[in-house]
Amino acid sequence: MLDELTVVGLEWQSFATGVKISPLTPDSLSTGQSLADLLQAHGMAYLKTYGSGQLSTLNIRGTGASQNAIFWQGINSNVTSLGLSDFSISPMALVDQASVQYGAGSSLLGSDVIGGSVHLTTVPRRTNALAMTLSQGSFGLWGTQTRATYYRQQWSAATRVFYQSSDNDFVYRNESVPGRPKARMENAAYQQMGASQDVWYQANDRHRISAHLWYQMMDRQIQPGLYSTQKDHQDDETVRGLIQWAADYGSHRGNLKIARLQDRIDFNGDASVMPRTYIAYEHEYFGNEVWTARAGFNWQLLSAAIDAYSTDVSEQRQDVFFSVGWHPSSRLDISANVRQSFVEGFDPPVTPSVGWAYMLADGLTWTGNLSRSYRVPTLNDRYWRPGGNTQLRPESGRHAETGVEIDHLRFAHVLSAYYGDVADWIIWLPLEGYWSPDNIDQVEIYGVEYQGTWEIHQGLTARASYALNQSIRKSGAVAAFEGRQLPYVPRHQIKWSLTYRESWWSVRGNGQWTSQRFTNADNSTALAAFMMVDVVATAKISEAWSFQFKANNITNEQYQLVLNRPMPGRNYQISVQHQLNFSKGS
Amino acid sequence: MRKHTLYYYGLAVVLLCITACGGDDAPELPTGDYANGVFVVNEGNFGGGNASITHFNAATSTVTPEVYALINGVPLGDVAQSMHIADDKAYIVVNNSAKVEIVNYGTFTSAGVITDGLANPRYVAVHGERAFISNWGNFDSNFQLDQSFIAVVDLTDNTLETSINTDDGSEQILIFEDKLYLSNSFTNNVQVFDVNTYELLGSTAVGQGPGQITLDANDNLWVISQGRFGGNDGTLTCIRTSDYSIERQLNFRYNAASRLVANHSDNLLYYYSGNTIWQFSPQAAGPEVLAEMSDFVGIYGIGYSPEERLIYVSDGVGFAGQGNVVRLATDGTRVDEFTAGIGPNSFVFTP
Repeated sequence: MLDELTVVGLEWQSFATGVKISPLTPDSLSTGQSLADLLQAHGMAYLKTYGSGQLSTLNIRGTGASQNAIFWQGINSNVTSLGLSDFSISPMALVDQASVQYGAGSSLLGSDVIGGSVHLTTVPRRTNALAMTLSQGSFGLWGTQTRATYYRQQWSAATRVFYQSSDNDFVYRNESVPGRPKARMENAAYQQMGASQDVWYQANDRHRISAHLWYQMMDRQIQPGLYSTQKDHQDDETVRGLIQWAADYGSHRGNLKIARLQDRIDFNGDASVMPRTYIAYEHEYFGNEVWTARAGFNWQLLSAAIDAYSTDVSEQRQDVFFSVGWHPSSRLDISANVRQSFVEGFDPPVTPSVGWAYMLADGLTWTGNLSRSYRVPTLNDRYWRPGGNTQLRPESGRHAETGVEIDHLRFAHVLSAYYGDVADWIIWLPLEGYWSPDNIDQVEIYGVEYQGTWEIHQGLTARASYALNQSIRKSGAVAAFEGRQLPYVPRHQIKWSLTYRESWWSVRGNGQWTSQRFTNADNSTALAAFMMVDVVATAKISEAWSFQFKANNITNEQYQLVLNRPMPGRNYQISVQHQLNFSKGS
Repeated sequence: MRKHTLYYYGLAVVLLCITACGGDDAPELPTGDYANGVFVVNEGNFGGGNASITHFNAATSTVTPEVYALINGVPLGDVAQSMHIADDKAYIVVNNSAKVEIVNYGTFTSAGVITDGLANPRYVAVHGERAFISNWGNFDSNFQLDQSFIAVVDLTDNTLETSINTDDGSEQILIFEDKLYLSNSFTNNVQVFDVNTYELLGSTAVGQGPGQITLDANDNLWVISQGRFGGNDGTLTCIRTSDYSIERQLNFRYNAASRLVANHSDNLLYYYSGNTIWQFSPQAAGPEVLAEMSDFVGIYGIGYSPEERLIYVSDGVGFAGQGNVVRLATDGTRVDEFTAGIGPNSFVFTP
């Protein structure tokens, strides 16, 4: 069988009743997949991507780039200055699983989680194995990645290394010029590398200590907009380290994390450094079969050394949170959470949530969740010169969602509807010759999501999802923007995949259709809807050798995810993987 | 047959006279859909490639968006910084495309492009067969300017004749009596060059961040300076064209925008700060408030229509959507408004 890892739950997931969480499995047979690639193909979300391999931010459930977060091993890893993450520099080569949590999650996860969050995790494997992959692809792409997992007695470890580079000189058509002339992209080349090390030590039945290190860098030319003569260059570098101690005393479980994360962004030779220190302790209590509870706190120090600030800035944040789970019967599951953040100079709202899951019949569950959310303004919002505004308030939202889950042997469907109202939405506006942020807008977000899996036939599996996102500005600085859809939030997105799997080979087709995206707040201009289809064929010819062939965008769709930033047309990637399984450890 | 020949001969003479007998001191104005009215320069989003020109015909109240793309079939480019009309041509500086598009402004058909020797081009002035284009030059990694300059372009073939080095941030150009006055926006000075020999004739210290330059009825120059960031020290400086000395300087208690326009008889100047429009008569003791645009997100451009005697003010609406243009009477009351493109920064009125 092909290498498929069991899906693992997230630490806080048992208190996330009624919250939709969807695991995505990275493609382990080809190199260079980014979190942006994975989400664009399979997530119910839109990646606002400034060209191939370029800055990519997430629009999920109708919200903007900074209203979500990437959590690395449970820690918010958004860049402290920007309050957002670049999803294209997050390599899947260094993780086992990416899980998408849809909707508001501040009561569980803290600041930034208004539209959703993405969680990157690694899990210990009890194998002594080495998997080496080599890929080559269109536009001068080539990459290699290696994953070594090993264990011995109480120790488990995983080492991952990857490298990828691309000339990225794809040919595109300029659709806004008569004759749709062809042109070759210049100044979009990149190289990327990274490594991670995970070590788990099971001291005894009750105590486990683990250490996690992450390093990755991306050195890229910045793909200019059409008609722009800019030739910019950016180096991104991320270093993360975490030590974690987990204790399990049956009815009591404790978890301590001490971490340091640091992002360094060098734009045209001008470097900024943004570290984050994180300490958290959580305690779970399993009273009996009916009651569970969790309490915890975290302390964070967010810093930034940026030329545009008048001085280096740092800020402490503390969160305290409490959760309770109630399982009165095998059919009903209810959980409630409350969190309070403390940030110097701010008054983040108390964020409660309550969620339920009620089994109406076998394989039919009704879920729901009510919650509040918030986002503390970023360091740039407050300290950027000129314009930084120290008088900002946190954004805050009120949300409700409900869903139905249908589970059968051959199919699973999840249908959900959500509603949210976000106030004090922060917008940068020009003021006396410079730009400054303010709590201006109020935005209403609502929509419907469907996600389904069918096992049509032995070995033949279909998946499909549909998302309707309405993201309407209710009030703001400009009357002409009121009642309009937010830019870069597609109303409709359909994604599907069809996989046929035999014992030693498989073929998968996946596609998507995304409706038009407005590029302006007044909805005066829009990017055209697009459809894209990828095909992947995989063969495992022996225990040691696997091959994969990928054809992406086979209809050669010319599309843009951000105005005047063309994306590649049809392209190919071929990969070979050599896998060695050593004798089991003792 | 002969009769016909004579007829055609006579017709030719008449036509020749219609086209050529206009007189030397009144150059013939172009015709076309856009020959009359005002062009609004819409910067567009930086890197967005959505710069545009809006045409507004006041006589018919007709708004034509994206005139350049409409007529020429291709987008204008990335960041339209300014537009300048000379004779029957308009020169559009497209900053982040590092080019100057030339059009026959009456029809707006393309009449060439200047790219030779440009780096961060800003403004154009035309003198005879030459275009003088101010260029910031390139930034280094510390966001310091390398070398600002004026590109002197031969308009017979749109090639670079020479470059004149200037102080940092060469910006607005005004040519008067064979002298070229240049505001250097990263400094506090205005430089003066001989427009024929390119020799530096002098330099005058004004306020920090000088912008637009205009002439008054007495042939004195007025220069608006923004002031230091957050310094609340904008200035309006009057420079004598005889010896480039300062005739008078007004020191404001606020930062000013870099735009300054004069009325039809050059005896009243208009500028703005924040959402306040100020007017100033060179004879008066100081400026006075003309209008508060309290419903604006932010004023982004100002113009004066000498024909209609109206003030045009644009709201950039944070570059998040199409900008809005409001027309004001000279007493500050609103006349009407129309929609422009993304980031309308200036107005160019047809002669």
